[in-house]
This record gives sequence, C-alpha cells and structure tokens, in this order.
Amino acid sequence: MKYVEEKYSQIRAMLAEMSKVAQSMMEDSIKALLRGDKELAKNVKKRDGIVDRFDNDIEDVCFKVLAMYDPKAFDLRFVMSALRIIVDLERIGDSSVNIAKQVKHIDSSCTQNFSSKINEMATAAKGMLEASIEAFFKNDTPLALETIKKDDYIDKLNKQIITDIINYISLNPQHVKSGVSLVYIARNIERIADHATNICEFVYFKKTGKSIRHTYFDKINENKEDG
Amino acid sequence: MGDYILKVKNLNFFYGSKQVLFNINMNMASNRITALIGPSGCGKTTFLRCFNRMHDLYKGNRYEGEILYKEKDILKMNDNIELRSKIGMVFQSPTPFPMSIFDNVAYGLKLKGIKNRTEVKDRVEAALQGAALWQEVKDRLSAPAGGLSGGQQQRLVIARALAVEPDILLFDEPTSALDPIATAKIEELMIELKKITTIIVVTHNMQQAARVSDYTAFFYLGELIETDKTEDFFTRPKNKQTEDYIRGKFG
Repeated sequence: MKYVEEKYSQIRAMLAEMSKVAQSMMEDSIKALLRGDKELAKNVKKRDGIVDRFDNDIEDVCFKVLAMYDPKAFDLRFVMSALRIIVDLERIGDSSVNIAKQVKHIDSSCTQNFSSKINEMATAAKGMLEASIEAFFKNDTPLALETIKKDDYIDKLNKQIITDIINYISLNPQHVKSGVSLVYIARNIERIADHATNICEFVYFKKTGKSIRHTYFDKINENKEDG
Repeated sequence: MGDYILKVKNLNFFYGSKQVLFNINMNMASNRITALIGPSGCGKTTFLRCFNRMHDLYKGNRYEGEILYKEKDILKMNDNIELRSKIGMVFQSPTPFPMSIFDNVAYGLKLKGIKNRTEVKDRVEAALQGAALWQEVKDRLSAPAGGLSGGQQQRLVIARALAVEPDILLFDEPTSALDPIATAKIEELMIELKKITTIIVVTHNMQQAARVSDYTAFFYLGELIETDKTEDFFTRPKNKQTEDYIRGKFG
C-alpha cells in the first residue's frame, strides 16, 4: 500500500471513531434527558473532549496530505469532505452536550409531558445521523439524498413542539424554566438533523464532485441523473 | 471560450511503420495554455512536435489527418521556417546558441531577413522584456549566453522564440531541468505570455499542469483519452483512466 493510501485509511478510521463517539453522545444525551439521569448527562459532557481531539487530529492529517501529496479527483474530494464533516461531527458533540446540560434544570413532570414528542424527534434525528454516516462510508448518494429529505419532517416536529411548549407554559407558569430548557433541547435536536443533512451533502460532493449545498431539493432531483 | 487557433482533425502519426498517434481530434483555444499530460511513451511529445513539423527532420515519419492553424493545414505547408517562426518551440534543456545573448535573440530575426539594426535592437529588447530577462542582462548583452544560469538560459530561449512574434509557443517539459525558483519564474512567464500567444505545454509534472494551464489533455497509448478545463479535469475527471492516472493509481 502506498504511504498516501495509509493516510487515507487513517483518516477513514479516525472519522469512523469520531462518528461513533458523536452518535453515542447524541443517543445518551436523549436517554439522560428522558430518564432524568444526571450521571449519564455528566458522562456525555466528558466525551466532548474526545470529539474535539478527533477534530484536531483529523484536520492535522488532512492538512499534511494536502501539503505533501497534492491529492486529485476523488482523493481531493475525500479529503475536502473529511475536513468539512469533522466540523459537523464536532458540533453534533456540542449539541449533545447542550442537551445534557439541560437535564439538571428540567422538572421531571414537565419532561414527561413532552417525552413522547421529544423522543419522536430525537429518534428521527438519530436515524438521519446514522444514515448520513453510513452514506458517507459507502459513498451511497441515493441514501444521502433520501436522508436530506427527512430534514423537513424534523423541522416540522420542532415547530410543533415549540408551539406545544409555549401553550403549556402559558398554562403552567411554574414550569417556565423547564419549558425554556425543552425549547432549547428541541432546537439542539433540530441542529443535529441539520448537521446530518450537511454530511449528506458532502457525500454527494465526494461521489460526484458537484455541490448541492444551499440547493432546493427539487433542483437536486433534476440534476440527480448526471451525478 | 474564445476562438480556436489550432484544430486537430483525425490525426494519425507513424514513425516508419509504427503508429504512435491514433485518430486525435482536439481544438486549442487562442491565448490559453493547454497542458498535455500522460505517462512516458503516451504520445504527448510526438503530438506536440506535429504542430511545427519537427518530425520532418527524420525520414520515414508520416502524418495523416489535418492540423488547421488559422484554418490552413499545417501538414500541407511547404515553408517550415515560416511555420516555425509562427509556432515556436522551447525544449526541455535550455538550448542557447554558442554566441552572445544579443545574437541569440537576434538569430531568428536575421533568419527572417530583418537587417535594419534599429529594428533588430528594438525587437531584441522587447523579446528580452517579454521573457522577463531584460533587467538581468541589459548590461551584458554581448556576453556569451552560455554564462547564464539554467533558468536564465531557458528564458533566453523563450526570448529568442518571442523575437519573431510567434502566435503559438510549444513547450516540451520546459522546467524539468530547472530548480523550483527558476521553475516558478518560467511558470509566471507562461501565464504572462498567454496575453500575446497561445501555449501548448507537455509536462510530466501534474502540479505544473494544474497551476499554469487553462485546459488539460490526457494521452495514453497514443490516444487522447480526455480533455477538459483544467479546474474540472483535476477535480472531477469524467474518464476512469484519467481519474486513475491523476490519482497515481495507474497500472
């Protein structure tokens, strides 16, 4: 194996590890919230440092590959997309920490009222995240495009939850603090889905060399055949 | 894209009975740099040398097809000296003649019958300016050209080609014998020169092709595999063989 191939394998392996940690943080932050598990929430916060280290280390290897091997075509797109998705994975870690930090502020009765909706939204976001990472490693553009479509559903759930929470706290003013925390949590879950969408957009770029960022979905479908 | 100064149609080339170029069809845009890349023996230099009929120097070589230069077929032209003044060549190793710096640049002008001393002097200066060498040699024009550094010699050769006001310059691995600083100067010069000429460059250095050219063409086993805008060629090539070659996965 050529030395540069070893570097690509190293980037792939580190990305896989980083994704695993970010996914586990997201999953456990929701578990901690729904169970009111403060220890698990603390543990999520601890893992943020691991994701940050991967962010630095992967960036460093990519930087050296660009400087020393001058990659071309798919190799260049792989390195470029790796550099971009580590930003999303790192922010998924941050959003998970944001969720975990709210656990201690929320009244359990308030959580119970919204647990099924939060769970529904988190499950959908988690599904998007898993699919985006699978699509990245398999260069699966159809899966990436299908996953991007799901972001609208999360946005809709987010709006619905926020409306419900506002209605709830107007009737239960003693739960304003918990309600605000839940709005913040919903917002962070929605952000995680946005990051999964970004990852999918880089899957498409990596495979085809074409950018679909900031493109409406109908337009992407129009161009799908030449990709 | 602007006009095409060269149009290659169904070009085949034979060294004796051995065919080395196969049905090449390609256009070269005016005032642009086109890079020809490919592994050794792929035919890129053979292709480059067709444009000023360098192959005519050896018996038994044969062309088929057309190379239209301003709509006239190069392969049917009779005056190679006139052709080579319009389509100049710069080789891999600098090839200064064993004469003074001034005489090197004036050589082509004399060959063309230009004898007026003022005109020769002016055109030598303009060519040396154009080749970014004037400032370095203006005080020693009568010194032997062999005393210049490798990079300066290569720029002198470019000045010699420029003096006869060519439309096209052919560069055959022009920097492979130069250090990185001299290479950078030649590359900057090439980019500057495309304002007044069209450049076709054969290079083994893919980074150089990516840095200087507007269009890149990939040759393999005597065939033109792919040509595209350089920025697309190196980021999203369409052909699998091109992709493998530029990623270093060939063979």
